[in-house]
Amino acid sequence: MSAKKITRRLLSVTAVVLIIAVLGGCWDKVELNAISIITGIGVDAIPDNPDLMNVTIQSANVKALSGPASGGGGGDGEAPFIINEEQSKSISEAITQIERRTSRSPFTHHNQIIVVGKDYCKNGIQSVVDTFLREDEMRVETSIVVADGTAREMLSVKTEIEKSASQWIPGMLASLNYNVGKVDVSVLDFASQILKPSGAAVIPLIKVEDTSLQKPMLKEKNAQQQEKKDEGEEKSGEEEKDEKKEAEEEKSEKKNGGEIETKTLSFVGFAVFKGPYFVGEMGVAEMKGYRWLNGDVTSTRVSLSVGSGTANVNVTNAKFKKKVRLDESGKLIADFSIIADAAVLESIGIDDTDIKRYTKVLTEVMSEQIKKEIEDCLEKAKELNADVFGFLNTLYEKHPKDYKRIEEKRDEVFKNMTLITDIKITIQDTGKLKKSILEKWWNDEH
Amino acid sequence: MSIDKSKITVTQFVFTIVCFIESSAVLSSFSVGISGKDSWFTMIMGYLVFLILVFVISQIMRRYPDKTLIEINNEVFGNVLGRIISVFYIWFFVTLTSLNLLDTQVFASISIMTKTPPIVLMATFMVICVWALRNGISVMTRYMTVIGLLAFAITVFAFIIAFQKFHLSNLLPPMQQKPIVYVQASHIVSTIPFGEIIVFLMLTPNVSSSSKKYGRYILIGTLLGVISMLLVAIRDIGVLGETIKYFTVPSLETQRVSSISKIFSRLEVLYTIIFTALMYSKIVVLLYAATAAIAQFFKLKTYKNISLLIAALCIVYTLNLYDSGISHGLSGMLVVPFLWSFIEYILPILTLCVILIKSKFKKEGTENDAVRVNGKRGNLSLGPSLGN
Amino acid sequence: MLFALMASAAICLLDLPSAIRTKEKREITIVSILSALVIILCFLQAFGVNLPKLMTLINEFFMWLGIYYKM
Repeated sequence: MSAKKITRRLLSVTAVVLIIAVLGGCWDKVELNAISIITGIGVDAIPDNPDLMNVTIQSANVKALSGPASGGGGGDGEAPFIINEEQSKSISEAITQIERRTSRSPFTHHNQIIVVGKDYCKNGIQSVVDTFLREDEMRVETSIVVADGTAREMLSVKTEIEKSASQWIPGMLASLNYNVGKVDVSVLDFASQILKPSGAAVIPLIKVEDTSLQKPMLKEKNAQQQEKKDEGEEKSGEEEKDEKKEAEEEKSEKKNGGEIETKTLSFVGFAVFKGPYFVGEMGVAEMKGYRWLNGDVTSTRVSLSVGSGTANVNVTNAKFKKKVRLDESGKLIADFSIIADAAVLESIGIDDTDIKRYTKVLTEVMSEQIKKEIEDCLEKAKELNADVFGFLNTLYEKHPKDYKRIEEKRDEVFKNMTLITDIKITIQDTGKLKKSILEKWWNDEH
Repeated sequence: MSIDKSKITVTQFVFTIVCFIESSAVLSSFSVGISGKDSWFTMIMGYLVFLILVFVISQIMRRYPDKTLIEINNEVFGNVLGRIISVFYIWFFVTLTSLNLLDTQVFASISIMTKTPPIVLMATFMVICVWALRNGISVMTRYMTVIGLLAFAITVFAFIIAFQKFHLSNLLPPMQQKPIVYVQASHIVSTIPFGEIIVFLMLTPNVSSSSKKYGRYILIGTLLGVISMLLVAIRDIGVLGETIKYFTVPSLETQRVSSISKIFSRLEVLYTIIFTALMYSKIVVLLYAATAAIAQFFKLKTYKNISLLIAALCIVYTLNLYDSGISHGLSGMLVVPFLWSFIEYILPILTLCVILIKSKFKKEGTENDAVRVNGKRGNLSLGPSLGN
Repeated sequence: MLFALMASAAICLLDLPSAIRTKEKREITIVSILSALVIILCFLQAFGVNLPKLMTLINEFFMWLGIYYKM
């Protein structure tokens, strides 16, 4: 082999080695045991200091998660997560400050959830939205929820099936998306919505609740406390001190990962935003109407009262049509139609001898009920002055010239809008029974 | 006469153009920041304006099929003026190489290698480009077909997985912005990336084609590229909606958001890989154009002897282009379209005009010469026959 | 600094010898001059000398002329 060929080969090999060394990303390597994986970020308001926020960071406790007990939970009560809190002007600053007292670098790429305390929302969530859209490490598709309480409390609870709130909440939202309709809102979804003409958006509202087992125990405890009050027992100063000390010890135990009470998290409605500002809530009752109006219903159960009887119907295959127009006087009119199928799941006390009449009655009552749910929800939205259904957006998309006419007074136009609903639901089947077997006992008093 | 004797096939040439255009799909934020959700429309408008350049290039190549741009300048404008104009083109090629290198480095630093020093990224990238360059144009363009097809396949796959988050309503209503927005965005698109096709005037002599229909090849290549760009634009608008105007790299955000349940998620790495491959294909062509142009300007025997030093110059130049990324972004939106229009459109049109005027005078001159020689019209005993 | 050294080494070990091997005086001269210029630039960059930002200057010139799109 000639000297030239050898030189060329050596140079090629050197170049390849250099390239592999660099392009393998070795320079940017991050060892797993050098990072603290952040799974949830929470933001709360500080009552005395509106310029600062209380940032709660939930990180995975790798030691507890990889413990001997499979299925986690921690045999010795060690929590599967670590909570760090910091008061700062921004989330990024809080993470930087937390870095000063941990042995690992915070790693936000796997953050599952952003929890914003309801009190914090009242001043607007600009900081949260901007940070998560702007920072490279934060992901824009992270789900965001509002805590009906504090974000700190929500991220600190242990949940029944999942190990932590940051696993529970995304799982619950995904399940609701699949079974009920779109409920999950990411930072990107929220930003897209508030940039549209209506400027309104919703974020799921989650509440920490006691588990179903705890509820009777808690009731008993509350009853005992009430009894003591009624008997007029005055606590001595010492007794009060003891109680306070007990409560504080319990709190610090929880903070240090001691035995944490298991709680449950419930989806209780939507927090309504106009731009980045919180304007109100929609509860469970209004939620149903919201889902209908947004055309998000994949399947849903409707409970009906028909005279003295009741029925439970499962509505599926819903198709929605929304048309929006302006009349000559500039009034917004929306034509909304639903065509769906239904199946009877339960029927008690409703005469079903004539199946045609039976289905007609059920259909009429169902249509009335859905219409009422829709109207109640719309009234609530008008009250909050937040077009969360996108009527103004639809007008802008389909009739931009008409929208420009009313752009300046769009809030007023939305408040005065008329909704015309047309609901056509066909009962496809009555379940496994053709008729109720309990007919002869309907009128019995017992 | 080309400075590189090796030949490339028409397919390689067309796919090189496809890769060249597709690489710019990922850097659409200059025009997207202006036109927002109408960027699909401005892309089409920009392409229509670009067709003027295709016509001009094809006419120039028809008359000088075996000459590169530098040689054409000397031929058309003479030695002195031709060399002055060539200096503009050389500066343009070197600047484009550096700008694209800067974009690649910035993208890599943001998305995957946040702690690696920029110089390391640029140097290793240029080592690959120079390695390909020194092996000749046929090696350079050998993988363009594969890269082009792979990029298109990934674009289609990305479109499919983004479908879950795609809302057609995000594209509505179209054309609601001020006319100047469309003018500006179309102008930007017609210069970045379409106008940059002018660099292929340094490669056309190497295309082994009997028909020499360069205009057709450029048209096919750019058409395939623009289809890819439109797919990307429509997907990004449908997923990101109103927020598309605000992101620096909208396509990356779309890829981050797209997933098929939890199984196929975090697919931005796919995008990063194909982006790097496409940027290689663009930068290697630009580097070749710059190196070959300088070599021809100085009448060197081969461009390979200056490949490394031009690469090193490009790296140093990249570090000294702008004082900040913000300045770069603003420049791309506000000033560069005018600057590039002069080099990409005005100079070639001027070249074509001079060629046409010269050929007209040459025709008349030859006719007069024939008359003077023979004393009679139509009696040709010397010179080429002009026909009766 | 490392880049400047590596670039200079690469130029001196690869480009210059190739040019010298052609045995053309013109070629060697031009390549040597260009190499020297590039090596000087690399070292100026390595030593932190504030080289002019060309595109920024051109930008400002065009803005002074008024040839740009208004924001």
